[in-house]
Amino acid sequence: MANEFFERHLNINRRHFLGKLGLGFGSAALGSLLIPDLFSGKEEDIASLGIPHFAPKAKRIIYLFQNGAPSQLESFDYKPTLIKMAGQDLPASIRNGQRLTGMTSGQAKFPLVGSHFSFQQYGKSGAWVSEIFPNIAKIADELCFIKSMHTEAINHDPALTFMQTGAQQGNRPSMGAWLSYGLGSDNKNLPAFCVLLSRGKGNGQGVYSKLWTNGFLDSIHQGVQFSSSEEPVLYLNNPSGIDKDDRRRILDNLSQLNSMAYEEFGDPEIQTKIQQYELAYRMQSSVPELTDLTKEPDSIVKLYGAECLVPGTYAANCLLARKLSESGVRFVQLYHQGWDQHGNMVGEMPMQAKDVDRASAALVLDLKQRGLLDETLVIWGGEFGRTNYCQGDLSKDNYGRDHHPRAYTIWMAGGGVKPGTVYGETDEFGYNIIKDPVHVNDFHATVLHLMGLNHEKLQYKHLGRRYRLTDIAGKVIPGILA
Amino acid sequence: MQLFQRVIKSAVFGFNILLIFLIVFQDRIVFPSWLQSFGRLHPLLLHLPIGTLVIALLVLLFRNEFKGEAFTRINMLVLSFAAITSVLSAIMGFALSKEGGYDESVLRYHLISGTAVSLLTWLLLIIDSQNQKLYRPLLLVSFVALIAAGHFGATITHGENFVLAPMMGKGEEQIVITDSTSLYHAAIEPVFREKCFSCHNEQKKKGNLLMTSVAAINKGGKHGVIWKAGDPKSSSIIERINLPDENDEHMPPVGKTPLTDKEKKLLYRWILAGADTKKAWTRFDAKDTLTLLANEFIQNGRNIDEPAYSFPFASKDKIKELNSPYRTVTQASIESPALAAEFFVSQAFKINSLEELKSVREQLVSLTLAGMPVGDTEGKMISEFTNLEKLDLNKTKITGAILNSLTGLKKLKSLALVGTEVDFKSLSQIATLPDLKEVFIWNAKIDKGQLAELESKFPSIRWNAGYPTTETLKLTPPLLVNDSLLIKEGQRIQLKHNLAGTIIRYTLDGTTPDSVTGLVYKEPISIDGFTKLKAIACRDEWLSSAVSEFTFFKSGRKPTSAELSTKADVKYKGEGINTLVDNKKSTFADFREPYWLGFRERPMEALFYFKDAKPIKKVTLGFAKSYYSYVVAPESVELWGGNDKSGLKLIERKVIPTPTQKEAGYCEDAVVFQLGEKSFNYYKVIARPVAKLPEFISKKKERGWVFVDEVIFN
Repeated sequence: MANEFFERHLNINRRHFLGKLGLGFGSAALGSLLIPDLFSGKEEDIASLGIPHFAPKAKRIIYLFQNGAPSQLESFDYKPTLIKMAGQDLPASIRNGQRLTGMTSGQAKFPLVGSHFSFQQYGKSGAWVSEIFPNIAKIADELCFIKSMHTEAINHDPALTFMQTGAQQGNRPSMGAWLSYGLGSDNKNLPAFCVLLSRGKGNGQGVYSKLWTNGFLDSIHQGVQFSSSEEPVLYLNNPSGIDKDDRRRILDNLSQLNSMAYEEFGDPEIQTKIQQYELAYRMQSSVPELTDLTKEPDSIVKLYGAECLVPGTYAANCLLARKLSESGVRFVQLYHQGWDQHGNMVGEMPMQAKDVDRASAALVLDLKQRGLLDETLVIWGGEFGRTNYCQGDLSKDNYGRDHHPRAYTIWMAGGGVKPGTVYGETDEFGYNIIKDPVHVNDFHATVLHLMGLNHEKLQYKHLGRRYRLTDIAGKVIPGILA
Repeated sequence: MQLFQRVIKSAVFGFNILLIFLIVFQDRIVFPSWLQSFGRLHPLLLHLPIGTLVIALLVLLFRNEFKGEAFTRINMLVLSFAAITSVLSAIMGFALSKEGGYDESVLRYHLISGTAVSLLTWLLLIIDSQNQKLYRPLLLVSFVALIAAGHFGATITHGENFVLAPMMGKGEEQIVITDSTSLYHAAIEPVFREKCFSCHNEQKKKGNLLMTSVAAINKGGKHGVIWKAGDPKSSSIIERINLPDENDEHMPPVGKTPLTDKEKKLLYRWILAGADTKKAWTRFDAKDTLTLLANEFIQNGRNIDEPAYSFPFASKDKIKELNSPYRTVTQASIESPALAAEFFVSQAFKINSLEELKSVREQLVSLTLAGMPVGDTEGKMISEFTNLEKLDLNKTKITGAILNSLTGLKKLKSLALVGTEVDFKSLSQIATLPDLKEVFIWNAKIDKGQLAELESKFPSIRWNAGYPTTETLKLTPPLLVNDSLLIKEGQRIQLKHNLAGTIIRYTLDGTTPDSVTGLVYKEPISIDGFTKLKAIACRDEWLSSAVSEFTFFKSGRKPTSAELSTKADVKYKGEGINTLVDNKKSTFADFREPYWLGFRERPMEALFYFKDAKPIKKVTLGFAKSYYSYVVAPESVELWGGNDKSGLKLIERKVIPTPTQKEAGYCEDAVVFQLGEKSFNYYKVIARPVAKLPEFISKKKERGWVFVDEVIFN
C-alpha cells in the first residue's frame, strides 16, 4: 500500500510539474486579461464590510413600493397618441411579437386606450404628471423620473422578487439585507431593515416575507416587519413582575448558554440569535420614543394628511418611515397593495392614487425640511408597467390594462439623484423604450453606487460561487446622478 | 563582400571620429539647418541598432549551427550593420538634442550611453569574433549599454516610469475638487495636463517652457511669459492656440490634439478675468460666462470627487472603541479619513459620551445630536470639533445662545436646527460663517418677516423653514377603541381620534351629526341594546370628517341549549348554531370566518331553550347587508314562543321592506323584537331570504342571501 502511495507521488514528476506550471501560468495570464483586477491585490475591499467603498451620497433608503404595478400611462408617462388612436388595434410593428401574459394573449384584438385622466407638465423639468397625483406633481423639481425602467418578468411574484432581490426565483437576499450586510446598522437599537405594509382598496396582490428575506446572508440582515396596528412593535413592555434589571440578567444568562451551544456546534445562527435578543432588549427603549406620534406638530399632520394618524394606512407608514429613517434605520421598505388594475382603471386608480399621493410627497418634503433629504434616497415605483391596450373588451367608460414588463416609470428623490430630471423615454405608444433603458440590474447597481458601494464588490460566497445583488450584470446609470 | 566590409569599416571609423569631435567641441559649433532635419530622423533609425545587436547575440548563441566559415561571415555582416546604424543614430541623436527642451540630466545619460553603444559596436567590428575571450564580454557590455541608452531615451520621450505606470495604478493624478479648490486647479490646469504637459514637462521642457506648476509657468519659456493677466489678446498662449492648424507656431503642434473651442474660450475668459490662480471656483460670480464655462469642466471631473482631507486616519481600534449601542462613529469610506458621529436613544445619552469624541476631534466632519438632551452649555464642547461640516441639532434643547459659541466652526456647511428655540439674532451671527450653505429652521422660533430678512441678508445660504400646507384638509373619521361590536355588561363604547384637540360628535338615533349638531363625545357611551351610532370628527382649521357608522349589540343571556332546524348554505355554515350564540360579533368584512351563517335557498330557523323562564325584554337578530354580494335584509323575520317545544305560537312577524336604492359597501343591521314582561322556555326565530332581489341589485331577479351572526336575548 505504502508503495503505491509512493508510486503515485512519483507520477507527479518534474515534467508533469513543469507542464502543469505552464498551463497554470497560462490560465493565470488569461484570467488577468479577462479580469483586470485579478492580481491587483484589492481583495480586501470585498472583506471590508461596514464601511462604504467610496464616499456615499445617500446613507439611508426609503423604498415606497407600489405593489401590483401602478399604470405608468395613468400616472407619469403621458401618451396622447393613445387617446387619439383609442380603440384601434396595437400595430404589430410595435408589439413586434413580444410575449404577453396568459390573461390577454388569447385576445383577438388589442385595442389601444389612452389615459382617462388628464396630464399637465410641472416644474423646471416639465415632467408630465396626471391629475390624480396633484401633490407629487407639486414636488416635480425634487424628483428624478425614470421612464425607461424595464424588467424580465411578466407576472407579479417573479417581477416583485426580481425588483427586490435581483433574481426572479426567490431565496436571494433582498436589497435591504444586502445593504445591512454591506454597511451595517447605523442605530444599533433598531433593525437595519424595517418593513411596513399597507393595503389600498384596488385589486391587490400579496406580499410575502420572502421579499424581505436575508437569503443566504446571516439572518440578522432579515427585514423586520412592523405591525399595522396601533402598536407597530408588539410585546415591548416587560411582563408584570419583571423589571429592566431582571430582563438584563435573564438575557446575560441566556447568552452564556447560547455561547456554550455555539462553542459546541459552531452554528452561526446561534450568534444571530444572541444578537437578536440584544436588539430586542434595546428596542424596548428605542421603539416607544419612535412610535410616539403625540410629539409631532400639527403642521406634520397637515403635511401628510390626517390618515397619518390612522395606524396601518400608507400615510401612517410614511410618517413612521421618516421617523425610522431619521433614527438611522438603513433601509425602510414600504409596500402598498392594490395597484393591479386589470379592469376598472377608472374606478380604482384614483382611489389608489389618493392613498399615496399626499403622503409620498409629504415624506420627501418632510425629509427636506429636516435637512435629511440629501442623505436619504426615496424610491417610488412598482414591479412592472401596464399595457397600452385594454384587457378584455374596451367599454365606453372603463378599461383595464395587463402586465407590461417592457417599460415602466419609477421616481427617486434625494440622496444623490439629480433632482428635476426626466430620464429615458418610451415610444409614442408607451410600449417600447426608445432612449436610455434602465434594467432592474442597472437600477440596483445605481442604488448601491449612491450608497457608496461598488455593486461588483459587494459579494457573498455561497454554494461555491460569489453572489451579488446584481449577480453578473448591471451598470451604474450616470445620467441620474447629481 | 570584402569591399563592402572595407567601406563600412572606414565609414564607421570616420563617423565615430566625427561623433567624438562633435561631442568635444559642441559649444563651438553652429549647426546648419539641414543637420536639424537629419537629427529628427533619430527616432526612426535608433531601432535598427537595437534589433541588429539582438541578432548578433543570437548568432553568437547558435554559432554551432553554422558550418565552416559561415559564422564569421554572417557575424561580420550583422556587426557591420549594427555599427553603422549605431553611429548614425548617435550623430542624429546628438543633432536632435541641440533643439533643446529636454531634461538635461536624462539627456546627458542618454548621450553617454548612446555614444558608448556606438563606440563599442565599432570595437566589436574591429576585433576578431574568433577572439572569444574579448569578443563575448564586449558584446555583453555593448548590450548593457544599449539597454541603458534605450531606457534613458524612452524616459525622454514617454516620461518616467512609462512601462510600469499602468500596473502601479493611477498613472494620472486624480483631481479632487472641493468648494475651496481654485478655478485654476479645477478647470484650467486639467486642460493643460491633457494638451500641454506631454511636451512642457520636467523631462522635455520644449521651448524651455515648463507648465506643470504655476510658478514654472510664471517664469515663462524661450518666448517669455505665456499670458498677460486681463489681456488675453497680448497673451502668447491665446495667440498660439488660435493660429491656423498648419502654422508652425500653432500649439499644440501638428500631430497632437488641438484645444477644443470650449477650452479656447475658457482660457480666453480666464485670462480676461485676471488669470487668478488662487481664487476658489465657487467664489466667481455664478452667472459669469467664465463660471458657466468652467462649471462644465468641473462637473465632468466631479463625478469622482471624494472630498480631500489632509488629516490622518483615526485608527480602527479607536473607531471601534468609540462605537457603542447609543453612539455610532463611522468612517466616510475606505479611502476617506473623515468620521461621522451619531447619537441615539435620548434616555441613554450622557454628556461624557460627547466629550469622548475629542479623541477624533480632527477627523470628525459630521455630528448628529438630533433629539438628544443637549443644551446651550454643550456649545463649548461642540465648538472644539473645528473640522465639522455638518451639524444636526434638530429637536434638541438649545436656544440661540449656543450659536454664539459655534462661530469658530469655519468649515461648517450645513446646520440643522429644526424644532429648537434659536432666534433671529443668533442666526444672523452664525450666518457669517464663510462656508455655510444651508440652515434648517423649520419649526423654530422664526417668523415670516425674520425669515425674509435672513434670506435677503444672506442670499448664499439656503434657509429652509419648511413647507406649510395651505389647503384645508379633511379629517379622518373617529376610531372605535372597543375591539368588538358586542358590548358586554359593564362595558361602554369608546371612541377616539389620534389628532389631539379634535372634537367627536355623535348620534344614537340614526340622524347624521355634523360640526354643530349631535352630542359631543366626552366620556364612554353606555347602551342597553342594539344601537346604531354615527360619529364625525371636527376641528378648527380642518374640514369635518366623513361619518363613521357602527352598530352595537348588547350582550344577553346565553340559552341553555339551541339548535338550527335548517341547514346553512354549505359554503357559509360557520360553526352551526354555535355561531348564533357564541357572544361574538364581527363586521361583514369577516363573512368567510365562522362568525357568520349564510342562507339562500332555505330560511333560517333556530330554536333556543332556557331552563328557567326569566323575563326577556328583547330578542335581537343581527344580520348583514352587502348589495354587491347580493346580501340583503331578510324579507321577513318571525319570533315564536312557548313553554312546550311542539306548541310554539307566533309572537310577532316583522316584514322588512325591500331596499329601493343602491348602497355601497356593507353594513351590519338587526331586527329587534320588544317582548314586554312575558317569558317562555322556548323561542324560535325564522328569517326568510328575499325571493326576488330588486332589479338594481340583480337583473336576473335571483334569490337574495341572508347572513346572520347572532341572536341575542336581553
